[in-house]
Amino acid sequence: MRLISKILPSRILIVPCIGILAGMTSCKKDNFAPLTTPPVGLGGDDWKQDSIDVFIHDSLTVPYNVAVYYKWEPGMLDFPSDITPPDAAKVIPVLKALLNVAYAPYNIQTGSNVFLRRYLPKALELAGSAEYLPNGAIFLGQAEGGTAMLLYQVNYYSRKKADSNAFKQMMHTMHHEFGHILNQNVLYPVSFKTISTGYTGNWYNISDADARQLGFITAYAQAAPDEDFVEMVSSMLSGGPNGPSGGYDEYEALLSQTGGPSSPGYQTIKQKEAVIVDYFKRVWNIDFYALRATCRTAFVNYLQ
Amino acid sequence: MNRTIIYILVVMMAGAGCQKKDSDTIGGLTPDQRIAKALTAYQSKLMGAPYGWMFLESTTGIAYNQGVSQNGPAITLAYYVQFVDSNTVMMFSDFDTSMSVARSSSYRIKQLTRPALIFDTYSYLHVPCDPDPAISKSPFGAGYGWGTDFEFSFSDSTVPTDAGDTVHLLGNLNSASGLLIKATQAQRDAYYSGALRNNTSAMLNILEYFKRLTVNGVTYEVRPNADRTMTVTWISGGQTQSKTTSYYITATGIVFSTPIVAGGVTLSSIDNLVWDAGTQTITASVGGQSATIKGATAPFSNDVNAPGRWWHYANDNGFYWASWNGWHVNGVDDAYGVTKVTDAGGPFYQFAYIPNLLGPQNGNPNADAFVPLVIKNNALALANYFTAPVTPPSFAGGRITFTELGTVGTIPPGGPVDKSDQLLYNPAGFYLVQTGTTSYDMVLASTARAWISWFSPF
Repeated sequence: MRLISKILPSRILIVPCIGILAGMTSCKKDNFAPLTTPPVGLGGDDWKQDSIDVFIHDSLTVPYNVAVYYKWEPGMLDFPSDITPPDAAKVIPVLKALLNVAYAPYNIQTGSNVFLRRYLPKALELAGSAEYLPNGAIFLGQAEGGTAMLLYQVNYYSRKKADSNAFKQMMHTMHHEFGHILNQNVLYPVSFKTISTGYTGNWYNISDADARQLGFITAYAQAAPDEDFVEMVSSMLSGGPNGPSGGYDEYEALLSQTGGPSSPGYQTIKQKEAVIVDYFKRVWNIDFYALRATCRTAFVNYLQ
Repeated sequence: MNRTIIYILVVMMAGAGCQKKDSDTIGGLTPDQRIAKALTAYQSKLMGAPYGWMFLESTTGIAYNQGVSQNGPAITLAYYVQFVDSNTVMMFSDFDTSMSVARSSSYRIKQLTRPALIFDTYSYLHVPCDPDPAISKSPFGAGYGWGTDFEFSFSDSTVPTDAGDTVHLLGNLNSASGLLIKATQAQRDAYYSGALRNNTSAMLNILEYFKRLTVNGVTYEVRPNADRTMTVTWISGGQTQSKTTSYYITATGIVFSTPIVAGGVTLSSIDNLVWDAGTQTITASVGGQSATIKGATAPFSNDVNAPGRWWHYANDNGFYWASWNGWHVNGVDDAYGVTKVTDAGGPFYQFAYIPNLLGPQNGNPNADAFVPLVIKNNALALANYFTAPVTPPSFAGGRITFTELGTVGTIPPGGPVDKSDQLLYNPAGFYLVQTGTTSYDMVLASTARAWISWFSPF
């Protein structure tokens, strides 16, 4: 208290001084003319609309309320990273594939586009290349808080049978990211997180085959429970990487790498499968096995 | 005293506070109005070149990804760009022979920290910055291109209308510098008539490693290197001299970024290259004088100590030499298909020469190894089978000659590894040409039509 009373006098002097200053500096105000031009870039960039923009408007924005960002937008993707924008010629084919192979099955199972229109993230961002991380891993997709979905490697797209691995990888990424959106809207049962232990940030040092023996459908599933959940969803809907064939294989084929039905790895994955099927039924009223069958048919029919 | 000063200050500040001027505008324009005006001016500047622009892009030798930088060669690339309308650009590039046909992509001008020119969909310009090394062929490693950019800030300090016939740009990620120069009708026509392709592909027609340029009776050796530099060697007063500079290729010719002064003659470019298949010669012009480029089977002046230096560098330091593609033979990279070997224990990674890999320590006689490295369990491993040359190789006559001591595993006869081994044991031996501080090309001495490019991974 003594200390305060000692300091107080000088403070009292300064405070009115500041008050006077503030009052005086504001004593004369100019009348600004109202702004006649809107701030540059307000409402987003504008460019000459071409067939890609028309396609996006008609096929995604109107039916699904989704905006597609395919032109390079500084700062939209991770900065400062070496990522390239998509090849314009690949944009419509990729979007068509998404609509036919990833979105249509949900519409068929739910009876309309209402479900996707509500839950699809409102921004779909496309990148031509992958994003390379310093640890040697690459990003193939990202989902941001239920609002944006980012799809990399658009330039690698092909619907030819011979390139079906790249196509499956893209669909895997899409189902993975949409799985995130769903669990970001309604979380899966907490019990899912306790089925497996051993989640690790060093997942990229583990091969997919080894991860399966440990009860994870892919190595990336071992990164965290959230990733485990969506990797299960995407592997069941579109197959998973580095299966017995060396490429993307169907879910059942991946299970053969666990060590067989009596192995702990197999049983752990089956436990997770049960939780997911139950989650889709209870939360979204979707028959997961029927959805899977529709996804597979759509994929096979789409390959050329 | 102090109090007096404070009072004086208060009065002065109060006075200054009342002296408020309309300082938010310059020339009566708000910042947004000025930005909009600048963007429009840059747009009309780019569109105001009836024959398009030459676009030279020079890197700093540093590439960034995720905020981490890598060092590598500094290069210059030459483009021809024509801004067709407010969002479309036509482009040619010297980065690869396939880029000598016009390709359309999009661009836009946008206000960032500075007004920026963004090539916003994939084009020739994006290939050298692609993070996938299989696409960019970048020596900077996975995740890095060559340190080029596709998002540029206008970096002239003058207003766009005063910029004249040149516009300076600065890359936003890698700080590559860009220079737009108004093209002439002749330049534009040359690009559209395929002259760029002649100039980029001419040298590839010469199957020999060594290439001789003759101008006005003087002969130079020219060597395009994998890092987009060119080494020019000449003899002056009995002494061999050489200089290395980056280069770029336009519809006019091959241009050295830094002119090479060779024995009193300044070489700044090799123009109008035309390949004549009949005489197996390129005709060209240098400084207005006619010139020829021909293949040669031997170097101008052989670096006789290079074979020993090459072998000892790896042997004495416990290193090895690595090659991404194996042998280049008769104009074909990876002529024997080693990169596609599937039965060697894992996916192919590199072909390696490892001095004294074998020895008593692993129950073998002393021997080197010429061995494919494969990826096994996420790590580098020796292939299941490979050949073991005698150690050390012979360095006689300024060449390196290998002799087989034995093999490890069973090499499939006639397969990529077997063919690679047979070439290694060619009795003619090889010249070693040092192409960098830790890189060499090993060239078959008999024909100079086969070579392997070694680099030290350490």
